[in-house]
Amino acid sequence: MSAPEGSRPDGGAPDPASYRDPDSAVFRLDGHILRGLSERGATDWDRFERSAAFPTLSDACLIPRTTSFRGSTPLSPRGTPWSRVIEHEPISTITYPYEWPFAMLRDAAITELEVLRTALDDGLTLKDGTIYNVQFEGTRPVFIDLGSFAPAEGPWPGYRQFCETALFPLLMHAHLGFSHLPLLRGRIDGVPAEQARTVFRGRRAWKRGVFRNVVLQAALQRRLTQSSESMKRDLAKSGANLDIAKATAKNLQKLVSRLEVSKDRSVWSDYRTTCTYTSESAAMKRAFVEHAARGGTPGRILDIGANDGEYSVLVAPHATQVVACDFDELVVDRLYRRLRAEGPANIVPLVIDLTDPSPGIGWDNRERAPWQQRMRPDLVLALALVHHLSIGANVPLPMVVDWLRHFDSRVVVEFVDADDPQSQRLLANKPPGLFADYTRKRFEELLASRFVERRRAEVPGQPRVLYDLDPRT
Amino acid sequence: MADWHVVRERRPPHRVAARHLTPEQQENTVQTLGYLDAGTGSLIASVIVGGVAGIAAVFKTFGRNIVAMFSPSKRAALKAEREAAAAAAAADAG
Repeated sequence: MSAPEGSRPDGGAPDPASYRDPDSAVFRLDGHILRGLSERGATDWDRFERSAAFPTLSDACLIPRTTSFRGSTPLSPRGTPWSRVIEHEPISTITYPYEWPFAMLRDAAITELEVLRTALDDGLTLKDGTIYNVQFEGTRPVFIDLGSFAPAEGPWPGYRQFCETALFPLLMHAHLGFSHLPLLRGRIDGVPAEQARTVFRGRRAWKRGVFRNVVLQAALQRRLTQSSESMKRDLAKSGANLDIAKATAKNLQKLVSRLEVSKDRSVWSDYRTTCTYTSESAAMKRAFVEHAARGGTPGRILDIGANDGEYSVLVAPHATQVVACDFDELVVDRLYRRLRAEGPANIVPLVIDLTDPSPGIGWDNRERAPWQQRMRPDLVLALALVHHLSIGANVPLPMVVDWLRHFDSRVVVEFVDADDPQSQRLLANKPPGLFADYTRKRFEELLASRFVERRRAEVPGQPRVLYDLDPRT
Repeated sequence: MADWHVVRERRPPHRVAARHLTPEQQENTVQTLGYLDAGTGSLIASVIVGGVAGIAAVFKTFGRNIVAMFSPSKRAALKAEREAAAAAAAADAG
């Protein structure tokens, strides 16, 4: 429910992603990520802070470090003073489930259930179950909604939301090969049971986890009209107590852990083996990129068109965090799994189509911010990318250079000439003569008016040039 | 036994709710819809996902209603029983 947005003004305005829970809301004040709590929210927080779950989750780094905040703060979005204010350690870059590959969404779901199980062991539950409550610090999932802990009574109230935002998209992806990305991007609250039911007809209804969670839930939702609160009381009377909520969480976690996608070859998955670099030119390119990353103060690096993450991994030791973006879901999924297994741990891999990046969605189009607004890099790597945007996606060269300038940061960009075999491959699918202005001379003219050049290097034996640039003010 | 309202028509739950809930239940729904509506059907489904103990709890609470959901004759019997009870209550009140 609440995400400490990095790009918001610092004046204490409530975070646009944090308005749904009247008892808890996140805002940013003078660089601090703060959470205001109502009287009831404060009581729940005290109960959580005193429980054994709090140190367990903190020590496992499953929740952000949190302390009390003493300074004066603005009123709640409902115009009342907060009973208590706590401060969270910020998340480096806010990302959303429609940017995570399958394995990331699955790990986020497993993490949320792990947090729930730890809470239930202490008589606490999570008030909601949205997967947006999980963020990634590098490749490590973190549960950020510390206002969600409340005394447990009966079944888990977040189950429906968990199903809609995590379980159904995962089931549809794992069992039907239907990517979860457009599903989650299309509706902030995910996939309703009724809608998931329509694609699990016939024998598909018997795939793992589908019958109970999709078919039965859709049927029950359709047929029952009793209020959920009185239903909770009736169930509690019949023995649907904490043990059953624990069993629900355990069974869900087991189910989610066993979900897997079938692996296919994607467009880019063999790019590294088919691309045109010789070992000499590759070494030169790596040295150029590493020099740029080492040069500045360590900060956030944004690798756009990251492919298998070779350069993200190269620069990771010189950065606090690297965000590695590529449009190929399968490649990003593989990268995430490799990073989880081998590190480095400070890279967040994201599925981003640069010609159609994540828009602003939810309330007022601001609840979930657009991709570019959340990226605040100190260095952008745009390697072997410009020809894909300019020739492959028909984005005019001046628009590509303007867009690079919009990041307002140092940029390392590679220009791949039209003679290069990779450019030729793209041009082969286009009518001749369309890209006459795609020349190195034109590219350098455009760069000169928007950037100040630090260095450049020609890739030996290839019609490619690397530029290290600062934004022109 | 909880008072269940079995709905045969397929329509969005919120439209069903307005038509089939008793005034008392409608009042109750408005008062108790908190920060998050857990969803009545989803609550029961979550209990069933909890395994054998959950299924037992659901049957203990709503056994006859569940049977009625899938059997038109049981549904009719349950409806007749409810109507008889309602008529008796009205007669008592009168």
